[in-house]
Amino acid sequence: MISLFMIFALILVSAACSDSAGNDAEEKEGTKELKVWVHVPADEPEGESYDKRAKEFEETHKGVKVTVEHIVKTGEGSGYNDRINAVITTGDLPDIITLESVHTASYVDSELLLPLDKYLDQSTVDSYLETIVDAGSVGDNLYALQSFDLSSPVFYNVDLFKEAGIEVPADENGNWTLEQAWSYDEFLKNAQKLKEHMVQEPVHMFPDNSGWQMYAHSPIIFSNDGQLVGENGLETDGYLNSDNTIEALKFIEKLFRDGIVSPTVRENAFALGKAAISFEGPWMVDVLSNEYPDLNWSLMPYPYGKKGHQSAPHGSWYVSATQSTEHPELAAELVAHLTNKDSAKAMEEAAGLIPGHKELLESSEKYNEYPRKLMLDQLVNTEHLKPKSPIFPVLEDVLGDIVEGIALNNGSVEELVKDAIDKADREAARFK
Amino acid sequence: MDKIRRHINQIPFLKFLFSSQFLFLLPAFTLIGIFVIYPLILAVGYSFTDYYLLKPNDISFVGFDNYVEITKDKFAKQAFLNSTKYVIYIVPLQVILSLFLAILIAKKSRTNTLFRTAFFSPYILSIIVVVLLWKNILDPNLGIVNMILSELGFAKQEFFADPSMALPTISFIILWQGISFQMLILMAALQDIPASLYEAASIEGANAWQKFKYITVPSIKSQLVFVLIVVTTGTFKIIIEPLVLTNGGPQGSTSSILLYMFEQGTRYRQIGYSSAITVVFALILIVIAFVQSKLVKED
Repeated sequence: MISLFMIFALILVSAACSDSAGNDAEEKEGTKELKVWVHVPADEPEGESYDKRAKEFEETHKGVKVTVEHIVKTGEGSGYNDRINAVITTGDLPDIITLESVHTASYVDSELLLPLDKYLDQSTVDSYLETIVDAGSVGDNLYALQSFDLSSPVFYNVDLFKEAGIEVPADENGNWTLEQAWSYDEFLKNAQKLKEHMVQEPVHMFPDNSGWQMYAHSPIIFSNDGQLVGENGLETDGYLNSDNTIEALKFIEKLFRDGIVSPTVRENAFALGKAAISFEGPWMVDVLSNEYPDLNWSLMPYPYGKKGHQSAPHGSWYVSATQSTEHPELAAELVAHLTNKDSAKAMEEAAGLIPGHKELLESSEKYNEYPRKLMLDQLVNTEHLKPKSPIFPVLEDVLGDIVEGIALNNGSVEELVKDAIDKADREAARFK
Repeated sequence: MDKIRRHINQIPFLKFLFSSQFLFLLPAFTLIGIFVIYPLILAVGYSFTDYYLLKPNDISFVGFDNYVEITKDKFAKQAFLNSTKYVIYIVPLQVILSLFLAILIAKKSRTNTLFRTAFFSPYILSIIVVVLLWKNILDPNLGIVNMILSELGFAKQEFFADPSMALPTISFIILWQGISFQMLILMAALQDIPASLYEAASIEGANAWQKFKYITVPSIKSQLVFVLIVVTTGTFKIIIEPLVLTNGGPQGSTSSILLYMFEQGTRYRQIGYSSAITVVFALILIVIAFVQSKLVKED
């Protein structure tokens, strides 16, 4: 009897909960409610920016209530991603979500995102950097926007270069510009000099399998006119094993085999003067400036494979409206508002991120001076060929597998690429 | 009414359904039904479909395709092989060492109480805490183990980055944490053995090994079988340790069945395929449970 009572009580409680949830979802009469899910905590600059812009939107739109929910991404398949996966299954996506720009294609393939360009005027879209519009577009439509972008620089130690007798290419103002980037061969030749001088691996790259490979090291492939996947985002055979891609991967292999890059992670190697060149994130600019004031560093352009095909990393988390919204026009407007010039300015001031609006770039003090200007030039003037594919997570993993396999000398480049194609093909088959 | 009651009493299952025992068990049955049986049925159903997480409304029946795919999937095979390796590395050592420790501290004394607390403490720590603790201890640059190795003139070891060392290292961490609970179970069993048996054996001139072989082991056989099975099934279910320490790498060398299933389901969003792996995994565990019941029966 007690058990029956307990079950009855449970049913009542759950019914009460679902009822209250239902009431929450209902909009008060005359009020349009927009829900926004973001992956960053409220106390970080990006999180603060979303909250602040949401309030502004409410103030300028009477009868509109914007709720920003901060669901922090804590790792692979956890936190934010879990919540998104769950609501996709139940069909309860909020009006606006943040997502990694590289995943836009798979969300579009599943018809989850709203085409923003149908609701935003051209001048609004044109105010963003082309790289941002391009990264947020799939096919002919724009689905995601961001107020800033990340372009990863290559750091070098000025003192170690001098000691090793390496002459840095420079323009008339003494700056190492994008046009003077080293080719693969020049990079290898100078790295050898540094190795002889330092008697240890002079270049720091992360060798393990992570998303970092796609973000930071895939430009090495793209700059050799190589690709990871075909136009449809599904065919890897003929692309991942093309001569150009294999040649670029063999350049990476040479870095490891010749003792130029360590096959294991060397934390803080550049900051501690144990590496003369380092492929690091843009956030390291502030870290090095603030925490290692004695380190004499500067930035150099990404090395390139084939002349005229320079490439560099870019991309971050973007903001999108979902097809679930009942107010598409308002949701698209809110996406633009959350990523507007004020947000860009705030993000540049708080975190030193490249402002994603053309107008701000022209007046940006930070990004019009070297060495930061090099990051901006890389972002604006190089190719960005990261795949727009519904199987992006698989492509990211297989590239990581290849680079990690090269670092661990776990087979020839051709063998590693063959395994990668097999894996990617199996996942792609489900989309064909 | 009496007729109905008599009819019910003739059928054991119906009798059970209308008994007070069933009412007491109902909350547990309900929870198991919701959180175990229902998801398992769903998993079996999904395993015959091409369910892709981002397209929940576009599901097609694909028959046994997902199961056939598992047999062709090199990475799935690697994950199954790795899980078997974990079992081989962990299970025998965990059973033997937990029995050894249990024998050492079974006698009631103040020192043993201290040891029991010390040995049991890893078990009360969260898995994440344990994993991060060992990650720091074995860090190639800042970890104390590598510092000691370096001081002694040995080369620093990449415990998690070297494919040949990563799986044994993770096995060691799992062993280290899990041993204490098994030890406790065996210790409780050891304390139930009447002291008179050992006294009689001593009078008969039995040595320590003979006492262990003829008194200790037969007396705690059921608990040993229990420990063996719990550790085996538990080891097959490893996921958090390789996920946090290596994410299945390097080169898939530490991936487990559950980790591979998790990756397919959450990262690649292939719920159908992930469900098929789950079903195969569940079947493996059912076989183990079947072996367990046989062993206990023989006992």
